[in-house]
Amino acid sequence: MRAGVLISIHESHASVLGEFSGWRVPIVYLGTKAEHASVRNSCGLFDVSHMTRLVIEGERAADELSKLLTVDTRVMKVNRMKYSLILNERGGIIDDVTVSRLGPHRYLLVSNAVTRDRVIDWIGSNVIIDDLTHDSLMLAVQGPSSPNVIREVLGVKTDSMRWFQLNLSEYRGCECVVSRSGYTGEDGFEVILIKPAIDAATGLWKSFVERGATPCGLAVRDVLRLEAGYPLYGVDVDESMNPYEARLDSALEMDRHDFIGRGALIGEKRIRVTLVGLMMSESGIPRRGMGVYRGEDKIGVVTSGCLSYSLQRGIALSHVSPDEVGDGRLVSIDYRGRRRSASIKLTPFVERRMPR
Amino acid sequence: MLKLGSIELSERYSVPEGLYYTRDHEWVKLTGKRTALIGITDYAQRKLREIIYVELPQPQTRVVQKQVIATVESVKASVDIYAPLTGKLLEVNTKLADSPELINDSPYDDGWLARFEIADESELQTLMEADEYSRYIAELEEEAGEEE
Repeated sequence: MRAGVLISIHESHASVLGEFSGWRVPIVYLGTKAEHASVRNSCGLFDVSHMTRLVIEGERAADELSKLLTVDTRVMKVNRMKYSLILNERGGIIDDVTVSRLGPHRYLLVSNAVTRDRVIDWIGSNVIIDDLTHDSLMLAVQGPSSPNVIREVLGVKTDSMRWFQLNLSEYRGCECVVSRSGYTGEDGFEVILIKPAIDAATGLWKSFVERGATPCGLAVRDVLRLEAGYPLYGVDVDESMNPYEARLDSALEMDRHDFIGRGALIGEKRIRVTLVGLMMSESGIPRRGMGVYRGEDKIGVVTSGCLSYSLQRGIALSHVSPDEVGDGRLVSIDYRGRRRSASIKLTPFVERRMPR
Repeated sequence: MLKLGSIELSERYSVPEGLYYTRDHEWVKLTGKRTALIGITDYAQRKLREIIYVELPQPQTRVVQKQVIATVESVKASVDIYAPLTGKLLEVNTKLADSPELINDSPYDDGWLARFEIADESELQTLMEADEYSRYIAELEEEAGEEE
């Protein structure tokens, strides 16, 4: 099993460790509920080093990436980040990623751990990639007080950083990429330390904790991203779905450039299923695999669900028949053999609070 | 109770003497000749981890052994709880509605699920005593360890 550079800290401080996509990771630190409160009210700290980090460099990087991604990387400014999809020729989603322009001919791609081999195979045949996943540390510092924590620990001027903007600096002699980004629905930052000595990596983690960031496990990350209405690749979205079905078509820059999968998306939009949110009207927590019904007709299936601590109610993402999609539409969920009412929600469950 | 997959081992589970146990990890504590408290074991709560919701039955419900009487949900999973014996649910622990974590904190005391009237005392013979249940969960742990 793979493990990040901070694994010994997690082994001695996290209350539960487990496996995620072949990585040994902290699942719970102090407690999921308390960790949730820290991110929504102050600041939480995550080790997300299991995410795949690839640097793509060279004269042709901009052009080639522009073909591989649904966003036009050629027109991105240096120090900007974009959310993008990677599609196959049929328009199926291979992964959702962020792409950052580190320099005129240098980009950073961050993709999901679960798609690691697929993504490297797919893009590696077109561009030369430097896989930094095992030689770097990636932390997410998330929550309304995260700007203070970042400022105090890294000396980065956070006031001038917009959402999805980067700051390149150094930390204890190693390259440090800070972006204002994250997947919790809160203001936040992601910090990548490239080729850090173990002391630098542990020092950074400890400094964040000393400045008030609460260590969090991956369990709460799932709750936070669900509350914010973000899908998890490999769970809510897979390669059989196109961007319209996943309602991720805002990541398509169709008119700006040509890219793999674009042709399949032009013309007839094939929509067999739609990814929507579901909020329980009654008690009970929706879980992956539960059926979604209108009356006696099965119209879909839950792909992920949890108890929202913010709403004190069960929430879920699910695949439903496109004919049934409508904000506020009433459905029911087969909750352990009992029908429970719920409604379709097409917007985040908990309002996202990222800065403009 | 469904299988919850592998988790960290190395923990010892509390199995108090004098209680009766089911293979589904419920416990029965006699409080009178025909009355008992029931709940889920330390092993069960540790496997489930952070419990966030408990769906309790209506009091005064008659149930038969192995009938589903409650659902316990954790951050990680949800499981059905079965009646360990045939009888009547006299009272449910309403504190669990606001504080489901009582099951994690105190599975054999504050985290009790229901007060129960036993219909047939001879059914107790179908349950395990502490030493037998301890061996049972040790075997489960061993199996889980081999799967890893």
